[in-house]
Amino acid sequence: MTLTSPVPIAITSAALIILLQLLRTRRMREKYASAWAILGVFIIVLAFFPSVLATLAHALGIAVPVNLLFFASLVVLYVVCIQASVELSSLGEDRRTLVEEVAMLHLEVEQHAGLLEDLAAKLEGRANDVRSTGSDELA
Amino acid sequence: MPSTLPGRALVVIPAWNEEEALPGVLKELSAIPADLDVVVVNDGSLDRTSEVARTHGARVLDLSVNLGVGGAMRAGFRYAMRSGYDVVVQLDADGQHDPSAIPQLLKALDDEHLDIVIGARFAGSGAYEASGPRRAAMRLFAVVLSRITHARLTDTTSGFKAMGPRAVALFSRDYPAEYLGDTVEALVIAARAGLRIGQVGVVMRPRQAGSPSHSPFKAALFLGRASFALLMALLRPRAQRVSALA
Repeated sequence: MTLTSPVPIAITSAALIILLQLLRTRRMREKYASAWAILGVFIIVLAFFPSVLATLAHALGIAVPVNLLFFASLVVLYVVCIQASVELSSLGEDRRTLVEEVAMLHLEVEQHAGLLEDLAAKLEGRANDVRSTGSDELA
Repeated sequence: MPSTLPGRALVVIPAWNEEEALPGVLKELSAIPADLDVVVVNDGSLDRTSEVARTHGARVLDLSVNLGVGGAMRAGFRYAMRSGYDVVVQLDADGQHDPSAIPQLLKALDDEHLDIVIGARFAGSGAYEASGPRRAAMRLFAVVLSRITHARLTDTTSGFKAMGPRAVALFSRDYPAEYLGDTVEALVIAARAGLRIGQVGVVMRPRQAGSPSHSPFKAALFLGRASFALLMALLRPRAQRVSALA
């Protein structure tokens, strides 16, 4: 584990660059990126200094260092998934409120249109009355 | 156009693909000697529910996506609040609930100074029978909710209810869209907010259209999901108490 392997460094760097690009173009919000960014940086550090993993694993009492890596990755994935579920629920609630609001506005518009039609009919009737009385006077 | 002055009570009918049963229900409603306005909440139906309701003279709230009974009802409560109705009656669109029992519910609301009156199926009148796990679940709810609400409730999953001003105000803010949220959890929320709940026996009829689901597997699933819903309702943080208005 003395030789630094270029493969994980390349892959992780690519992942981080993509992440940065998503953030830069505002296709992902910063609050969702933090967990991924931490994971990426962690992996790059390990790729340069593999001994860090062994030291950490030893300190935590984990016999096989790579298990620490798997465990840490799972924790990050778990956090990201929970965060996504929470956001999804809150979006569902937002959507519910909007759907209610649209339905109520729709009904209101419909009722106003009905009122306008009645009013127009009434006005037309009155105009006709005026016209007919006017012609009566002329006759 | 309906009168601009709101009637005393608004009947909210959540409807999802109920074009067949809805006309009968609306016709029966119009024959009731009580000051009622009707709004059908079309819960993203794929059939002609909305048109059918309109041609039978009901106001329609068209939800553009399906939100479930709880979602449809909260839309109804919010509409009631906004339009100034004191009382909301929830009525199923499938014809199981007999609209002629509405005056009874409203009377109980007034006479017994209640905030919510449930039209209950097991309270004497009618011949509604449930069996197996479904029956067990309903018993469990009846026992647990009777304790929480300090009232004797026998049919907590009934969707036939009348709600007074305090309940309408509460539910227009907080009415769960989760599974069984509109019945069991709503009662828990109401009881915790200090509302008074009671029941009146009503006759339930077989559905006028469509087929009920009564397979044992579905019944067992109902028990599981319902128990979970009840547990979550009890574990939720308490809502603020509704200040005494009446």
